[in-house]
Amino acid sequence: MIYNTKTEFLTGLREALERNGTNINDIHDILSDFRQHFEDGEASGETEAQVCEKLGDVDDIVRQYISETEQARVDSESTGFGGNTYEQQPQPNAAYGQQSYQQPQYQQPPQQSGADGGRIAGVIILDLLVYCWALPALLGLIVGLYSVTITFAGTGISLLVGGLISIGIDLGSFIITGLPSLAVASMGLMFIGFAGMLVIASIASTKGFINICIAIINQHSKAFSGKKVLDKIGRKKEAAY
Amino acid sequence: MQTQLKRGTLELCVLTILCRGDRYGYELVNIISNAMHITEGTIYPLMKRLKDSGSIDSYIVESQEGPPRKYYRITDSGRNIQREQETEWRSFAAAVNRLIDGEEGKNDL
Repeated sequence: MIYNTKTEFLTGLREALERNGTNINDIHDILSDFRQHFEDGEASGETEAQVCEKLGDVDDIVRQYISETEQARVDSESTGFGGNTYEQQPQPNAAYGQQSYQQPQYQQPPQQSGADGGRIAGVIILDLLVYCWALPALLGLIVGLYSVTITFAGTGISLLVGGLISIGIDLGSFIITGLPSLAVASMGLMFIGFAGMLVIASIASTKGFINICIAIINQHSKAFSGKKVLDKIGRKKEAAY
Repeated sequence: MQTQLKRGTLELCVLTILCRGDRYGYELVNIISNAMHITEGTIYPLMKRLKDSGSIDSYIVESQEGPPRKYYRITDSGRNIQREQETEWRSFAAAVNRLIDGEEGKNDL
């Protein structure tokens, strides 16, 4: 309803607010806001009819109060106020429904964004506190494992060969002293067996170490550019990629 | 301009104006309606919500010539909201502009 005078407008507004069950204190405040608006308008040379026209339809104003109250409820329920800023406001009245438009989903979840300050900082802290000593230590351990493997293999082979040769010499000289030589040769075999197990352990730990490095590289590239660059070795590529 | 689009951004406009100084209702309405076409009556419901949510508050100033006037003032939390919404608006507007201009917004939309 469009009115032409201040009195009509204020009366119409009060009645519309009452019809919508607005509480009495709010009605009082709202009416005093509009009363003041009229007075200021007139003071700056506008007629009551002009002020009425610019204020617009009283029912629209009341609807607006209701939808703002609804919006305030939505705001207070949401954790972050920022997220609601451009979201479509609730439409309590069908008259608004036709104008509604689809809210574009312009807010991207932070996980999918490119460079991310927090993650970059996290990665750098990890670099400084963990990776910078853990990786060399791990690498040292693996190198140590390889040297032990080689030592075992070398010792085992020399003992086996030495033992077999002395068995041969024993047999050649027809003196049956082959027992200690046999012991040496079997000790050699035992060492070679150990070396074999160590080779398996070495390969497994090398693979593990490379995968850790790849994971760290991916962590860095994800933090800086949001993309994973390498796939882990010894694992089938996921179909989704 | 579409009513819906305007309604969403009016809050940012009001908060921004109040960041620059206290205003009374009629003054505030005029600043906005000089900048864009609005239905002036819709500002007051918005003011009520902003006040209820604590983004702004109001105080009464007695005046010699007329009745006492209600001034609106931004609160600290209102300032934070304004900053946040301004950033959001700028990136949103930039993304829309890029899209309209035909340079496909890469990450922004």
